[in-house]
Amino acid sequence: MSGNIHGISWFPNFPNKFVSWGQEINLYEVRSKNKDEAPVTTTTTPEQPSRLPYIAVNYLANETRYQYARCVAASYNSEQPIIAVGLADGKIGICNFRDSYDSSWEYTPRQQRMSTCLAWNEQDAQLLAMGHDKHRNDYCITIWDIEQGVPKVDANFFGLGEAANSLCWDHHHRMLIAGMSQKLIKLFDLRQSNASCQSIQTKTVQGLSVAPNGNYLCSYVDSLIMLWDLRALERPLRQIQSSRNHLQIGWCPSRSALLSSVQRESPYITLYDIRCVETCANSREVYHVKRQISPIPSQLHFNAVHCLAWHPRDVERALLVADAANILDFRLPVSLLTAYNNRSKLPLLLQRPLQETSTNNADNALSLDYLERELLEDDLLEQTRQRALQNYGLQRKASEPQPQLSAYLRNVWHTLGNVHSEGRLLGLKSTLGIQLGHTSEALMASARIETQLLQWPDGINNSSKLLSYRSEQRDVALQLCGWCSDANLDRFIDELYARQEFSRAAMICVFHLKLLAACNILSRAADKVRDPSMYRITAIALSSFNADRCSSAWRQQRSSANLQIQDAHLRAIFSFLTMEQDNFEPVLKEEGISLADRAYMDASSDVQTVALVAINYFRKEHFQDNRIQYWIASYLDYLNSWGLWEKRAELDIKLEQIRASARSSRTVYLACNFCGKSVSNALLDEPRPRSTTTSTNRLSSCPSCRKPLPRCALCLMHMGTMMHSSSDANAAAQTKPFSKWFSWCQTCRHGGHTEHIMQWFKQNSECPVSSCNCRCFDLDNSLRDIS
Amino acid sequence: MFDVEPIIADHKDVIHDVVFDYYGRRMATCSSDQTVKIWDEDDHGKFNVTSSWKAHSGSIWRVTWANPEFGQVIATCSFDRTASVWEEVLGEKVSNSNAYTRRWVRRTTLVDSRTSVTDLEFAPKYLGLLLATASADGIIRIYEAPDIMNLSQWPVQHDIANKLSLSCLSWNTSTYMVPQLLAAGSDEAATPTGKVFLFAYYENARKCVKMETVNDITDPVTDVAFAPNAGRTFHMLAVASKDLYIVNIRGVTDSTGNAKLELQTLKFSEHNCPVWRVCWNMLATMLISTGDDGCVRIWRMNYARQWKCAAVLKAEGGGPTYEPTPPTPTMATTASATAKFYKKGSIGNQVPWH
Repeated sequence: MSGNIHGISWFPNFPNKFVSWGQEINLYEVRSKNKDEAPVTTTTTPEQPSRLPYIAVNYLANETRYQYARCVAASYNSEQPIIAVGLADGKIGICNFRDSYDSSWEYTPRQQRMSTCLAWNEQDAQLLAMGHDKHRNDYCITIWDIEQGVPKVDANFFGLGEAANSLCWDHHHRMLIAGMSQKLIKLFDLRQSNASCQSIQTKTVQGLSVAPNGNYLCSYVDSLIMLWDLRALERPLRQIQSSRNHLQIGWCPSRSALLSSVQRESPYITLYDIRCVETCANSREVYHVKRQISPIPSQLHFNAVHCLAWHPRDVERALLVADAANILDFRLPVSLLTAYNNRSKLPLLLQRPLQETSTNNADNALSLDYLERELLEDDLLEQTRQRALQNYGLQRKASEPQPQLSAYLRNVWHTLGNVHSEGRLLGLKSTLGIQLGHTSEALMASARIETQLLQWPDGINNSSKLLSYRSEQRDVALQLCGWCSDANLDRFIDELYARQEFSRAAMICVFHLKLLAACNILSRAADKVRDPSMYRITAIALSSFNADRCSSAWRQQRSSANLQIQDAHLRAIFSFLTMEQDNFEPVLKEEGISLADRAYMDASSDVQTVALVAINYFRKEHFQDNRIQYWIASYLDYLNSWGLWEKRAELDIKLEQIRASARSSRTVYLACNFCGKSVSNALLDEPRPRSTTTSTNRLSSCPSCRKPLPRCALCLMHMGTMMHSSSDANAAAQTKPFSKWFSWCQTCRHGGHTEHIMQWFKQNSECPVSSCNCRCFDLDNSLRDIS
Repeated sequence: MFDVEPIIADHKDVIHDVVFDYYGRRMATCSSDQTVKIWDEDDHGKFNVTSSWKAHSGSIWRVTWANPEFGQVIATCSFDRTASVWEEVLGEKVSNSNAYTRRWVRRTTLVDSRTSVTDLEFAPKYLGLLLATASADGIIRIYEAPDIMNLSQWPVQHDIANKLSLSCLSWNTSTYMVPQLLAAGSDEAATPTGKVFLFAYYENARKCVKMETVNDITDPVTDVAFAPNAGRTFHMLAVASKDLYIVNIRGVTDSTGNAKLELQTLKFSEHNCPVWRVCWNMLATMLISTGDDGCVRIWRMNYARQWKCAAVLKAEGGGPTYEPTPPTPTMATTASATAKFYKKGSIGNQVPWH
């Protein structure tokens, strides 16, 4: 039992060794991943998991002489792991975890008091700075060269009658920085013989530490962190106040200025990313980005992080002590950034390269856990794209069932096809004759309604009679819904059965009071599907149904069962059978029954279908509606963003056919550059037979002001002149091909016949007009690449 | 299903934002290393850096693409109190190929803010070339380029001051509702008031006013995102705060004829840590949220029209790096029972554990 752990530290020059202290001091070695997999090492140290269960380590040695260490520091010595241990009685011991005991490696201050802090020098690995508590006749800071024996010279002592709260060396390892007596930070420059000293008045004297960039110094007291710039100590760079008291702060060695803080009784560690912005005139502004993360994996239920030790080399890796006894290996999570993209690929941006441990490659380091896989299975986005590619909604006979559609959508198209084929582009409701104007009485009067008394089928004792309504409208409605009239019922149900829509078939049977048929269907269905329990139970329930006893017991059962039955059709069956009086509300309200079975529900985000239905079946009056315009515009926008220009154009053509009530007026006019009057009328008029001979002259100038029209930059002919074409067959064509048109660069305003311009830019990159450097043709380059 | 593709961004510091252009073929990233990178997709679907430049003298918080109708234009905002608009132009012809070098030219620097500019976004295209910025002093500014051929002129059109510092904003892209909605979030931690604000932008009256505050969200907010809306009668706003929120917004007209907003706030606590970023897919059928712990959660709507977390993406460090062997129960109990507090450097002559 290792007992409580008060602190941990890596050895700066032994990247896989660390020391933990508390009731005892232990030296550990982190097993590399390779060894971890070799079964030999794991079997030779079977007791290891119990010692530190959450980290893969080998226990190497322990140090028993010094119990209850007050402070421990690991030295920079690169030959052997050496630690300095400060004890409560002021004694400082040096230990290298070997058996040989050297008394010269122990220092006892003249006056007995607690040792408070230790700091090894990185450059001179034998140099140790020791801090002690206050005594009026003794110094609080001692610098000890452990190779030279116990310090005696005066130059090694600082701070008479003061207390040392914390110690650290500066970036160059020549200056000792000490927080003293709760009110001062002193900087002792050891390069000078009499150790000149700078000081800052501040209460934040704990946890002194110099950032890896060498410029920032941090210190804290209680809940306040103070940042200083060692080059300008007059005033603090920044104060960071937090809500809890800090236990320990430290810089992450692999980042230039990332400050970590462990706070009292908190399962989080707080990270302050310190940044600096150079504003104008040499003034700098320092700001920080705060982040709080929980380093404890969620399956371990620890309450607090007590201590954190950054790994000296590995990127953003640290050890931490949780709940005083457990050591965890921790690496700052890689922040993942992602953004939506119009395709189904999800790119992830990693803040830093993943650390490739020997066996792991990047794929393993990145894990994707599915919580509800089925939710991800049908992605509407990808469906929409695929459907668009397969000419969804563009077929001439749009009512043709399309193989890639779901049953629901097939029904929608089928129904609409039915409505359409009736030649009545009316809304569903008006087809059914239940328009607003019709009261039910009018309906009753106008329609021939047959009322029949239906007997419940044999086998079910029934005293009550059910009314069934028959009318022409009803037949139409049934047909529209994709149901059939009573005569063809059997055939229809067989069809449904063949299409594996078992529950729907059963529902329709029940609605027609053919309970036995429904039971048959369900039991046959149960044999076919993978998860038959629901069908089976429903079948059993149906077979025991008795209309006389369709009583409160059933109703209660149903309301509770409704929550569990996921199939909308099956729910509808029960609702139907248990209805009270003629209350069909629950049946009608049942969501999820496809449009063919009830009124249309626009619950999905499937704008594609909505827009295509609108395009295919709505009349042009409907297109005035803002919503419908918006649906169509959105869908066209999606097609654009996928780069499916052709599909969009086809839809546009289709739309234009619907809208083409009046010929759309001309949208482009040519105006004379000088007088501003329209030239296009004169240009585009069909030349009258008698003026054909003079047409070239007529078009060389503006018809109103007689100023010349622009000329093609290449052939120098005026706009409106026909190009000399090789074949006269073209001239006979009513409209000129695009290549004969005039076109301009929108940037430099130079242009000419499109065909000439295209030829020019095949060989040249700049505008054909001399001394114009415009790269007309490449201006759209970035766009063209994308398409 | 979708593919996940890890990309090493090679920024020298924390990446703050990544956005795709309209076609999803170009990507822009910005970072605290003060650079912006533009990535282009190659024929194999891999993204490669095609431009990278130092854009600001402070951390760059956000980057946003303009609609391609306005050219290849991005805008960036930074801690250095400025926002910039950049346009890609063609440079010299690369020898022995038909391609040209491309570079991004700073068209303008918007210097109106006195504090860090925390977020910016181009308005939906039908409003014109409009750019909204949010800054830490709580001001939303809406700039407009009246001449889209001249991107150097961006007069401030609106200037809306708020009491709280702002961290993020998002335009509603739907034209379904007039006025256009603009949402902004605040990362202010001190006050327990609502942190998400909804503004109405009236295009015709050319005014922009605050309409509503989402009072259910009182924790600091780091990101807001309107769901793309193609036809739904209500709008969805995802909010990244201490938890993930989805706010359903329905525009209603009350009896006096005033437009009002009905809000419904849904809270999702699965992240167990502050949520950092949120984004929607194109049809708003999927929501992606990123937590501070490096986990990405993917949310889908289930059959009952409730949002459910469907998948979690973790990088290393996001979970345990070492598979833990379950501790013996005795050990766990003693550990917590004997957990004693130890304050380093405390002053006192008594040694607490003797």
